[in-house]
Amino acid sequence: MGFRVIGQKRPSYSGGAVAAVVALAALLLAMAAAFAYLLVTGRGSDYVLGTLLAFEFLVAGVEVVLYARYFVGFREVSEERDEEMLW
Amino acid sequence: MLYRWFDERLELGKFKAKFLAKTFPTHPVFLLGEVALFSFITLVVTGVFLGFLYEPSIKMVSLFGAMVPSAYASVVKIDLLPMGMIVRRIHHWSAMVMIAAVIAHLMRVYFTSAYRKPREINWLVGLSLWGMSMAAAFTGYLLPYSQFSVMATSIGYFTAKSVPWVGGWVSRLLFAGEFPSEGTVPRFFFMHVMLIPAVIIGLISLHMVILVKQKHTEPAANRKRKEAEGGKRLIGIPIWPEQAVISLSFYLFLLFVVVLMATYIPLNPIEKYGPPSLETPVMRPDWYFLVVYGFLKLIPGDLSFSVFGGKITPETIGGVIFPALSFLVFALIPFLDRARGPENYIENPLRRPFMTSFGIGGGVFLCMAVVAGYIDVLHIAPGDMTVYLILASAGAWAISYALLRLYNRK
Repeated sequence: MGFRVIGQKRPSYSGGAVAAVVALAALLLAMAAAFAYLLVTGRGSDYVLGTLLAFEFLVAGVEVVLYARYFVGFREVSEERDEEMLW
Repeated sequence: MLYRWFDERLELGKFKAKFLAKTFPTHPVFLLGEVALFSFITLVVTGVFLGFLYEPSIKMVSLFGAMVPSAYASVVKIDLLPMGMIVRRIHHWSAMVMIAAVIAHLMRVYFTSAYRKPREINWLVGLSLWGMSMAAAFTGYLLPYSQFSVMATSIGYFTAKSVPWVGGWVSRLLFAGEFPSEGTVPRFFFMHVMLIPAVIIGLISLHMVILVKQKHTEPAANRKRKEAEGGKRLIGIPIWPEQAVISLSFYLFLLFVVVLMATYIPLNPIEKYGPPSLETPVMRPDWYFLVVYGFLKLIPGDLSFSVFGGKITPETIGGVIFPALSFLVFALIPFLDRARGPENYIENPLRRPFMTSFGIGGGVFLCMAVVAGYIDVLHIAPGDMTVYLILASAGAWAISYALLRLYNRK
């Protein structure tokens, strides 16, 4: 059961990456708060709200990439092809 | 703490060991199926929002002093809500991205021969998913009940009615009687939000179960690695957490693009088309239906004959026989391919001259059918366009085959 680890790139947990992830998380929260405020008060046009939402997804995507790059140990693995998975 | 609470009751650790300890091959082309899946998730989420506000009825109601169908009025009201129009456009754009991703995924599987034994069943499931995505898009067309909706749906109605022997029954079943009638919108709403999504979820589940059972194909370069042990072991990265973070970031970037497109690029704006009227102009459907639409334009209008009492009309040939034959050809591909043994490595398309050139010829044929949808704009006679279509697809097939044979001789 399971797989065999062939190689692994250990996460660096670099200080710069921690700072970037925290800063992006703060930016994400600020953008979410701004989006909610503009939506609830009706002050934001569809263009402003749509653009804000789109860039929120972009920032979140960059955050996940940074997290994956510096905090996840990427393993290369191999798995038996004949191993039973379901039946 | 929360994890431990659930783990004590559901043994999540065992689930993780059994199902998340799965290997995913590392190559960008394997992400196309994920784009389709992510788009479907976006469609469900935005569809739930729209479902709360949409009224599936053509009862006439007052909207800004004018009497319009309530389905149309409810969509106008959705558009007037903050973010309402954006959510509706995200839904529409995601449908386009999903269909494009399904087609690209099928093309990847075809050109890399990943459909071969033992994966023939999943090829058929994938084709069915393509068909159901198109059905979902078609039933969604009608719901805003604008001029565009009615025009596009009427093409489908006359096509369904043209099916020999059973056309009347099929059209009555799908369109709840004649079209347009009071029953059509509720019938299409039921199919769009219940029946078709349920079938799609079932097909996606089946697709995944078969994928887990058979395990993924992988890049051909892996075959030569000693860790592959002569093809007995699949090489890649674990689903959890490595592939999961890649997929999540990919989904977020996809959402960025889709939301940005939805914000700045209008799609079928109902305020432009207005409610259905007697002067409904001729309109072209979205790109994924243009192949059938173009083919319908190529069939001579007076081409009608009877077979065993069933009437064959231009709509039957262009809208029923042509798509059915195309699907049949696609479905038979794994069974016509001469490869015999089980194969887990994808192939280089340049090394398969016949199948690759067949795919190129077929692709050019379908593209030319799309161009045929514009013959009125391009001022080309249907007969001339038919000649161009045959010459272009046969030429593309022959030239690509010759070039690939030459490439492999070197």
